[in-house]
Amino acid sequence: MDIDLASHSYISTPEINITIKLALQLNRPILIEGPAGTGKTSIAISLANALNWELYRIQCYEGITVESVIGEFDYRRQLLHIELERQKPHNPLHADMNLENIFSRDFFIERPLFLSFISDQANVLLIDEIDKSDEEFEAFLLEALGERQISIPELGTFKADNQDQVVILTSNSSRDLSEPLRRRCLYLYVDFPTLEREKEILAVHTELPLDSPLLKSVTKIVHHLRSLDLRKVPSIAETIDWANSLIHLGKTQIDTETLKDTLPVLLKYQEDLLLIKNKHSELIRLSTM
Amino acid sequence: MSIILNFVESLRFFGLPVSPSETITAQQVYEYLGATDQQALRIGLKAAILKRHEDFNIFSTCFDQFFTQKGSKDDKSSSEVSSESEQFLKVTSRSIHQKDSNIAEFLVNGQVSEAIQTTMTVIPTGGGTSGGAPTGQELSELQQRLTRFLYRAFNLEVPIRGLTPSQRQELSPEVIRIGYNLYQYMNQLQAMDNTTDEPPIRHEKTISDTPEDLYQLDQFLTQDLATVSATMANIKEHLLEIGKILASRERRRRRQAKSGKLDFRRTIRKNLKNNGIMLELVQKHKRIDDPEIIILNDVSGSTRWIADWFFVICYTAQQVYKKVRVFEFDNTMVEISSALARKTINRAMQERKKCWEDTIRRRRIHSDYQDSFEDFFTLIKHRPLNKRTSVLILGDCRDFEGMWRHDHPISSEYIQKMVNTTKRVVILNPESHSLWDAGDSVVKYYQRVGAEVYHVATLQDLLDFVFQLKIPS
Repeated sequence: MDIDLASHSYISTPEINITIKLALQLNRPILIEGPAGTGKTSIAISLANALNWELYRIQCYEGITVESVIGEFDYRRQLLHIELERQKPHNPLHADMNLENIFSRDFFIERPLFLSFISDQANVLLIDEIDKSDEEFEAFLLEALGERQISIPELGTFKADNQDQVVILTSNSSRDLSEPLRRRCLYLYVDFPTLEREKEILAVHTELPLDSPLLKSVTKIVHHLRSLDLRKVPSIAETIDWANSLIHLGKTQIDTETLKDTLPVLLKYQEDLLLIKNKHSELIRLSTM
Repeated sequence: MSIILNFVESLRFFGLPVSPSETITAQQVYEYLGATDQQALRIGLKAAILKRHEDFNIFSTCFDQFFTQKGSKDDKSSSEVSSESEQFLKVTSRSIHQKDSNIAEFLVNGQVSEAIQTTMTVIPTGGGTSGGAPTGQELSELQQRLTRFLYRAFNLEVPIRGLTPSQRQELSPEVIRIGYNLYQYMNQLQAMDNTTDEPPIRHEKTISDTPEDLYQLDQFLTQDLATVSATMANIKEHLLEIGKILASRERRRRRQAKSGKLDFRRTIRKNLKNNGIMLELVQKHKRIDDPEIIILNDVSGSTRWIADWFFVICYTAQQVYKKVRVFEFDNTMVEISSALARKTINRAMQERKKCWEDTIRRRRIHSDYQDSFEDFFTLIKHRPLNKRTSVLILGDCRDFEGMWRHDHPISSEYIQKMVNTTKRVVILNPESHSLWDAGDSVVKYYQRVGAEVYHVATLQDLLDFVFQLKIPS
């Protein structure tokens, strides 16, 4: 299966392509790690777009619960159902009430993980920033990722029979993920792009030609900034924002004044701005080399 | 299957935990991609086997050696001998017996078969043999000798097979390459030797995960710190593991602590839709500010032995406390918070050393609490102390070089200043109670101005204190 991520504005690498192919072939989830802002989430979104598959997304956070990803029983509906049964004339209170089906799927609010598993449609399940969730949640996912099934005590076990499904987990490594979770996934590390790849990414997102001097300067400056010991290095999205800002300002080249004025688009901490306060001319010199 | 098995075994030699299920996946990848396109195979096997980016160097070097051999020394010109290999050969010629030295040189040059040949001809020196192939015992002795020597030459603290993730990360491609040759050499020797069932590499004893060893670790945590004999190398990775568990427990505890008392008004309002049946309880959300913790670690001669362990604990503690600043002092103070940001504990320790290169005053190693605290207030002048800050000092309160004003040490004035401006000042003293206030110890003066001083007898006490801010009994 040929996957054209580029047509969906994602400039891929052979590593990303082969890992996705393997995930589809072997029916394995992919764990994508890498620094923040390197396009991990975009891989899943672009893949769903490229394959024209549905995308289910679970955004992890501290305290995320199993109920918020699988689903939960709608107790309001259950309550209404009980009231309804109670008020039936031939059905006096607490006698012969039909309460058996209140724990059926009719009363179950289905959430992304469940929907993705039971769906007949081909789909991509994105479990974003898994490192932000708690260990308990991670342990819960083991069954889903390993056996491709989820168990709900009241409803039973649901096995994902759909072969056209890719599960993608992303992590910024803010917490070390457990070995069992890692073992169940194919591993892909996405680092910041090379100079050439970043130029291609910028060209796609800014519509500047690949040989544009502005494109060249922007990528060189950003790459140099990433090599410094900054509190937060510029992400790809911030680089695109910066390039677009320069285009809107009508710049075709970057001078010291422009750099000074627009750097806050790239650097979000005062201490980072202070760190390169005296290096503006050096950055300009580097960008023209 | 044997190709992938052999490849996986070479990775396991470096301590990569490749499970059987990962090996099966790797085999599936191999069957799907084939061996023709080396680049695709590398990516595929990497995805199947590798689980940490930090192990990429080991994977990549082993892949080159195993599948393409392009990483071997034979492909390079003789002038391209790396400085590490040069250093290795220099050490070899100095401190190893000539016959072993030849073998080591062959291994450095990637000539495994020559190393085997040399072993077969020069090693048998008697012991019942008459110039034929070496006996199992002779080979076993040689393996031990050579392995131990290689570890020493590359400054490895433990045998390669026992390396932890952070130690593996420190290995350079050159060391991995030579290590791979050693693995091949050992394997081939083992295959030729039918007289022994012993594994090719003997493990040196380190604390591992066997129940017996975990029991030892437990004992170590509760043993009096003054009598602990284990080395930092043996214990730091385990301390990190314990720290991770404690950090995760503490994170959960703090999350649960955030839900406060029942909010009656909102509960009634929310349950109107349920005919007033209290199905949904609404709790008040307690706002808990992240505590600001400042840790001052005394690294002067008398407490140096515990300071390293404390640093490892601080390194782990940052998983729980986002606002933690760590300083170290003897006669001057430096901030080492930047070291905590390093990805591995070894790098953090290197960075910590680097922090000491730029001190406010010249370092004299002897403890001087007065000068150190004066430097501390200089260092924090841009972010002064406040009532949300807790100050944790690990030190024996032996103000050896500090000056006195009238009837008290001047350093106690700084402690008083900290007490007045912060939530709490806690001093953890590793010295036994009987030594407090004896000689240059000024514990009582610090207590007098409001500092809480506690004796920390074991590593467990230190862990409890940092992770739960508990007062040891």
